[in-house]
Amino acid sequence: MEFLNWVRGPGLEYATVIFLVGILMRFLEMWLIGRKPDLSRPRASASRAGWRAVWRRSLPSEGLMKNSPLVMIAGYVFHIGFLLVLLFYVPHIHFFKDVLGFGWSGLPTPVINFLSILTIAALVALLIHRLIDPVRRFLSTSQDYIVWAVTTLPVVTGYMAMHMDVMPYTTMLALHILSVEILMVVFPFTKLMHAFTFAVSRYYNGAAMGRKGVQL
Amino acid sequence: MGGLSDIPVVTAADDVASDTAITPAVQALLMELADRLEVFRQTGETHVIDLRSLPMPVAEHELLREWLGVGEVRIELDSLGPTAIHETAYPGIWWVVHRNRDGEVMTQQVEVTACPEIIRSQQEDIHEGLQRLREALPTGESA
Amino acid sequence: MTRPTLAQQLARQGISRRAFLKFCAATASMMALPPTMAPAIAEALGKRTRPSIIWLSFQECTGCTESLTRSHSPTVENLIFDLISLDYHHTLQAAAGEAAELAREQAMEEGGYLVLVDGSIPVADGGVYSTIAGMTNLDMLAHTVKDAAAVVAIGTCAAFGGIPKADPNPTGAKSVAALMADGSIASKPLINVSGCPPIPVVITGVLAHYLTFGTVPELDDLGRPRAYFGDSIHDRCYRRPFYDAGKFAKTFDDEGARKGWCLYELGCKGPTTHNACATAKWNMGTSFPIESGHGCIGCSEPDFWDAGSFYKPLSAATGDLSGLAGGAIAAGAVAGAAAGLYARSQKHKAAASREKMTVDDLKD
Repeated sequence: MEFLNWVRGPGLEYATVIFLVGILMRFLEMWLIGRKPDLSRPRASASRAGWRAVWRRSLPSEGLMKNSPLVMIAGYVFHIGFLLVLLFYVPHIHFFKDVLGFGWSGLPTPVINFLSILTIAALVALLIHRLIDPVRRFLSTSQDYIVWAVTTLPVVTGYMAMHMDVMPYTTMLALHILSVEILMVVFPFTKLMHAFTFAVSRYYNGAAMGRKGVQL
Repeated sequence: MGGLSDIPVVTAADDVASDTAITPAVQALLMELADRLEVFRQTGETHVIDLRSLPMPVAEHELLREWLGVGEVRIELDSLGPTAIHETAYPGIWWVVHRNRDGEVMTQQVEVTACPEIIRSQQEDIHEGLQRLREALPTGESA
Repeated sequence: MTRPTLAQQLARQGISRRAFLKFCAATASMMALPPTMAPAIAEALGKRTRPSIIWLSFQECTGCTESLTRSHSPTVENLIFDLISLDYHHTLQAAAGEAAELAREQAMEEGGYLVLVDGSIPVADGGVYSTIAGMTNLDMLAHTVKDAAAVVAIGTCAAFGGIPKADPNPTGAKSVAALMADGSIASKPLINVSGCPPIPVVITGVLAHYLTFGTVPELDDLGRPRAYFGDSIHDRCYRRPFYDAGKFAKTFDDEGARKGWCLYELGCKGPTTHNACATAKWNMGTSFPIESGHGCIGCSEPDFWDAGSFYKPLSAATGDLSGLAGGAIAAGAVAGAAAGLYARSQKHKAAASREKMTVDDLKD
C-alpha cells in the first residue's frame, strides 16, 4: 500500500515532469539547431508532398509485406493494440479525465482484454524474430532491447492487474503504474521519441523531396 | 428546499421483495443444500451453513428463508436469550436463529440434519439436573 | 491464586451446557470458522482460564473503544465478565488516577497477560505529545509490553500509524510494529486488527481466538488475521458482478447508483482494501458502506489518509498532475532553449573551424 501510494503520488509526479521536460527539450533542441533557408525556386508544393509522405509512409509497403510479413503484421498489431488499450480502457480514461479535465467513452473490458493479449503476442513475436534473424540480431543494440522491455512491461503488468482474482491487485496495480513511469522517464531519451517525431521527420523528408519535384 | 420526504428512496430490500426472481447467491445456496441433503440421506453426514460468513445482503437471507418455507416443527429455546428453530418445508433442512439476551441476532444458520444438536439435552446438564431432582425429592422424614 | 477454568466458572453462574454451546456457535461464526468447529471450541474454551487484559490508549479518538463496546454476539459484557479479565482500560474502568495505574501494575505482576493497544505512539521531541500519568506513551508501552504474552494492535493507528502518522506527521507517530522493528519496545507476538475503526466482531473474534486456542491466528504479510483480512472488499463485494460486466455508477445519484452498480469510478478503494466488511458487516449485521451506496475508503490499509481523494478512482493520480504539467512545460521550454542554443553554437563553431579544401590538397 505504501508502495502503491508512492507510485500514484510522488512517483507519477517525477515521471510526468521528466517526460514533459524531456520531450519539450528534445523538440526545442531540434528546432533551434535550424536549417539554412532554401533559396531555390520550388518546383512543386513542399507542404503537399510533406503531408502526403506522413500519410503514405503509415501504410504498409508492398516490398516489406513480401519480404518479412511477420514484422509487418506484428508491427501494426502491437502499435494499434497498444494505442487502443492506452486510450480506450475505462480506468485509463479516468486517469486522463482527471489530468485533462475531459474524458471520452471507452471500449468494453472483454475487448481490451483481447487487444492486450494480441499486443503482448505481437511484441513477443517481434522479440523472437529479432533474436533469431541473424541480420536483425546484428543490427540490434542494447537500446532496442531496453525499449522493447519498457514497452512490453506496462501491457503485461496491466493485463495481470486486470485479472484481480489471480494476482494481488494492490501489488499488480502498483507494478503496472511503476512500469508506466519507467516508460515515461525513458521515453524522451530513446528511440521511443519516434512516437512524436515520426510525423515531423516524414513531413521534413517529404517536403524536401516535393520541393525538388520528386514524385512520391 | 423540500422536506426529507421529497427525496425518492428505494431500498435494496424492497427491490428484492418485489422481485421474487431468485438471485444467483440464493440459487447457489439452494443447490448446495440439495447436494448436502442427498449426502445426509446416504451417509448421515450433517452440514451447517453460517449465513454471516457469506457475502450477501441481509435481504437475500430473507429471500432464502422464503424459498425454503416453513415445515411441521417449530421450537423455541430460552438459553442465554431466545433461539428460534423451525424445520423448513424440506424435511432435514432446519433454520436456526440464535439471539442474545437483548434480542439481537448472534448467528443465523441453516442445518442439514435430522434434529439440530442444540435441541438435545446435554450430558452435563442431565447430570446437573439429576442432582437437583434428587435434592428436590421429598424424603421420607419430612413426609 | 489459581483462576477457575471457564467451564467451572460458567457452571458456578448457572449457565447450562446448551447455553454454552449456543455461545460457542456464535463464537465460531465470529471467528470466521466453520460452524462445525463449535464443539471443538466448546472443548478448548471450557478448559481455559480467563486471561488478564491490559488495554492501552494512545494517540487515538476512542473510536476503536466505541466500536468494541458496540459488539454483539457475544456482547462485550459477555467478553468482559465471562471470557476475559479486562484489568486496565482508562476509558471504561471505574478507577482513576493512581488507583488506575495501580490496577495496571497489579495485572502485570502475574505476567502472561495480553496487551491491547489503540492509537499510534508519538516519538518526536521525546514523546511529549501524549503522556498518561506523567509517562510518555512510548515509556508506558515499553514497560507494559516487556512481560506480555502477546500484543494486539487495535485499529489502523496502532497497526499502521493511522491519521496521526499522515503526512506531515508532526508528532513523529509510529505503529506498534514499527517500534518493535526498531527495538524501542520488546518484540512480542503481534496481531494487527486494522480498520478505522475495526469491525467490532473482528476485535472480539481475534480475542476469542486467542482465548480459545491460546495462539496467534494465521496472519497476512501486514500482520493481520487472514480469517478476516484474507480477501479484498472487492473480492467479496456483492456488487462485483457489475464490475465484471462493466456497469459503473458515474455519480452518486444517477440511474446506475440507484441500480446498485459498481462504485469503482466514484473512488471505491475496495480492490486494494482487505477487510471483512462485506461479510461481517456493521451496525449489528445491518450493512456495510458499499451497501449504503458509498465506496470503500480503504481504512484498514496502511497510509490510507495519504492515498489521495476518497472520490478519485484508483487508476487516477493522487496528486494534481495538471497543475504540475504547466510547470514542467515551462521548465522544458527553458531547458530546451538552452540545449538548442548550445547545439546551435556548436554547429556554428564547427562550421567556422572547418578547413577549406584547396587545389593544393589534391596535389599531395
